[in-house]
Amino acid sequence: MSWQKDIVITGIGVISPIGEGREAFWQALRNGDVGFRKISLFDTSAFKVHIAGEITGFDPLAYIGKKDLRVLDRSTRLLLSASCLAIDDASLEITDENTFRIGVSVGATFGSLHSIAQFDIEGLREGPRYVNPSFFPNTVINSPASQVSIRFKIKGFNSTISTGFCASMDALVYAADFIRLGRADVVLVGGVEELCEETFMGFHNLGLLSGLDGREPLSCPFDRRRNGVILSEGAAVIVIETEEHALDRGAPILARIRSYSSAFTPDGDYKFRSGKGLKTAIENALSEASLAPEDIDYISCCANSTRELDRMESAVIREVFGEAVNHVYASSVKSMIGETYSASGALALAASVGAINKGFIPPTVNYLETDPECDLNHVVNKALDAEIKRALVTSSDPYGNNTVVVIEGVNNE
Amino acid sequence: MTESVAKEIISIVSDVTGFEPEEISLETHFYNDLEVDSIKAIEIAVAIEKRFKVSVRDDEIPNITTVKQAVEVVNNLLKEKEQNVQAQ
Repeated sequence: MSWQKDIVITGIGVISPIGEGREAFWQALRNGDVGFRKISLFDTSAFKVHIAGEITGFDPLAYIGKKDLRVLDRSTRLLLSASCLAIDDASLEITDENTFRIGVSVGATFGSLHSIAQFDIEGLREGPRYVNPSFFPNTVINSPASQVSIRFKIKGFNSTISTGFCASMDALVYAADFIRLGRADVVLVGGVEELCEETFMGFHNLGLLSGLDGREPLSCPFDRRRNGVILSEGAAVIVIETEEHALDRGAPILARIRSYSSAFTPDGDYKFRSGKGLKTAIENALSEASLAPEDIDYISCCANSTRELDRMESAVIREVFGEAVNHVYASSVKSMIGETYSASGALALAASVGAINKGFIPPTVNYLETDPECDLNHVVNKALDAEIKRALVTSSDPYGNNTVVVIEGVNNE
Repeated sequence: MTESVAKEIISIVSDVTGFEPEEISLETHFYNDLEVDSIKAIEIAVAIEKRFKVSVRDDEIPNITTVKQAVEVVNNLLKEKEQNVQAQ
């Protein structure tokens, strides 16, 4: 067992409100495109907010064909499509010889909520006899990940991690450890959340959505006007493997995973967040990689346009980075994508790989009014061309989870 | 009756399996030709029950292996239903 194995990213598949496929996604981030629109997936007349990051024009047929598509829920369709893109991107051939060495690790938390509701509604309305058994598998949270293994005939480990906002980052940590333990050669790491009435209702009734005050919903992380999230959906899948394995099979290497760390602080709720867990996670990720704060060029923040998270994250970064905070660029892609919850970490990682490979900092768009409590070296409203060697990606869940990943370009020793 | 029943059943089977109606005939075998598994078999049975307002016995479902057999089962159930109505 070698904990020194270098783990690299060799493929990315993205289905998001601002673009499908990694090139389109990266270009949209560079353009500062915003993926918010009027919700068409369900009737919003009972809600005060009618805008979300809904993916329109999504056609799973184009990625995964017709077979059994009918019984797959939206989460599964999104994840399968992103997986298809990632496998192609990584030029990964799954064969009888290597299939037991390939794994799947997915972050998903609310993915089955809509399917559970629909299953119950059918049972109550039609009676137990007439409930369609084919829809039952969708009601469990590990269904999307399992369908990836079934569809692509992947026979290695298959896990789903449901740690809320940190889920797909935790899925990456779990997968990387699996590879380092020698239990897998390649892992499809993903995150997925679908937009549905049930999740929307939860965020709406918890008072977490922007626009509840009757004003136009706005996702403006770090901006003084921020007042909640714009809920969104999406899937991102990242193919990871050891550098040696990637080189052996001639796979293109997009970035190296330099370090990662998780820390839990039970801060209690959305209102009071000390940031101790996030601070520990960032410090440990830097320390594990023997990096100083000034070695980081870009922080892909998890700030989601809520008052407390953005304030807390800014304070933690200022504290950990000290003087370097004035030089390291910071932004939140959630200003363009919205809050995709379990998928947000994987999407931020995919964005940061783009930033490294294409040489730009994705902007925090919709930024107008400075908040002294969120004073960082923000890249706002317009992408900034910059050479990025290393990016630090954060995720933080209000109920205590925090996970941080550091990635770097492959030719920058 | 048989022809319209067959058409309806082929349409249901097509919906569940994803195969085009043109690919399905009376002789088509559910398990060998259409990749029907036990869950899909129940799904087809439930859809048939809803459409024709009949009740297929659970223990009979595994024995129905072709479209033709499904049509025969439905025709018999419809006949029984009609006789019951007349008897009342």
